[in-house]
Amino acid sequence: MTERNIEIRRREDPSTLGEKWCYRPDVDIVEDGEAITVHADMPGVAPEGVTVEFENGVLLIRGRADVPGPETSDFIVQEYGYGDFEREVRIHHPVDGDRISAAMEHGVLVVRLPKRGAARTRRIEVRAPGG
Amino acid sequence: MLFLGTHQSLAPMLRLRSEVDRLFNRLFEEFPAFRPTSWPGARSFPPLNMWEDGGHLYLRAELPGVPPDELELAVAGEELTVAGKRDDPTAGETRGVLRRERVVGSFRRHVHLPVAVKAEGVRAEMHDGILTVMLPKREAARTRQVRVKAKTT
Repeated sequence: MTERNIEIRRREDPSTLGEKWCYRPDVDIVEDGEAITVHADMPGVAPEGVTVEFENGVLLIRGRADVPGPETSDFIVQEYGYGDFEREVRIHHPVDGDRISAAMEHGVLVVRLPKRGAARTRRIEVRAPGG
Repeated sequence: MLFLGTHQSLAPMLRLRSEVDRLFNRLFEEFPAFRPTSWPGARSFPPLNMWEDGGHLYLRAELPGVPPDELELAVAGEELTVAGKRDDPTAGETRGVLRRERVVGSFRRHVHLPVAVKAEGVRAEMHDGILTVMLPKREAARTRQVRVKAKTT
C-alpha cells in the first residue's frame, strides 16, 4: 500500500513557481456539500515526494518524480516523458485551511479541502407525494 | 465516462496517430504552456515507452490510480495486452464536477512487440502508478556481440 497522509504546508515562497520546467498533472475536481476534492495524476511520484501547499485560495501541488529513466535515449516507442509535476489550482470557495488533508495512492494525489461553514449546509430531500 | 480501446483493423491508423502524438509530445516538451489539458480522446491510454537492450525488451506505462492487483497483463506471441479500469471520481449524482481532465473508465491496449519474447520469462512490477515490464527476447532475436580480433602478422 502506497497510501500515506501528506502534511499540508503554508506556502513559503510564492516566487518559486514556474522556475523549473515541470509536467502539469491532469486533475479532476469534484465538490459535495462538505468539501472540494482534487484528484491529480502524478505517476512515478512516491508519497514522500509530494508537497501540498495552500494559501489565499490557491492550492499548489508538487511531485518529485522518483522513477529512474531508462538507460537509453533510443526509444522504440516514446509517448511520455520523465520529470517532476507541478500545478496551481484556484479554489473558488472558502476553505477551512486547517482541515485540509491529502493522501497519495498508486500515483494519484487526492487533496480534500473542507468547505468553511459546511456544517450549516444541509441537503433537504424533496419527495414527490405518494412516492 | 470514457472507454478506450484499440481494435485490430485500426492498427495502421493508430500507428499514424502514435507518430502524430509523438510529434506533439515533443512540441509540448519544448513548449509545456501549450500542452492541452483536456484532451483525453487524443491520447492512447496508458501512455507507454518501450526500449531494448541486447537480451531484453522493456516497456513502461503510466497507470496512476490502477491498483496492481486489478491490472490485467498478458503476453501472447508478439502482442502484449494491458487492461484495467480507473475509478471515476466525478461519478455519483450528489457531486458537482468542477473540472474533468483525467482519463477514467475501462481501458484495454494491445501493443505489438517488435521482437519475439519468451512469455514465460516476462516480469512486471508496479510502483507509484508506473508499470514496468521486462520481456526476455527469444534466442533468435538476441543481439550477439562479435569480438573482432586484430590480426597481427
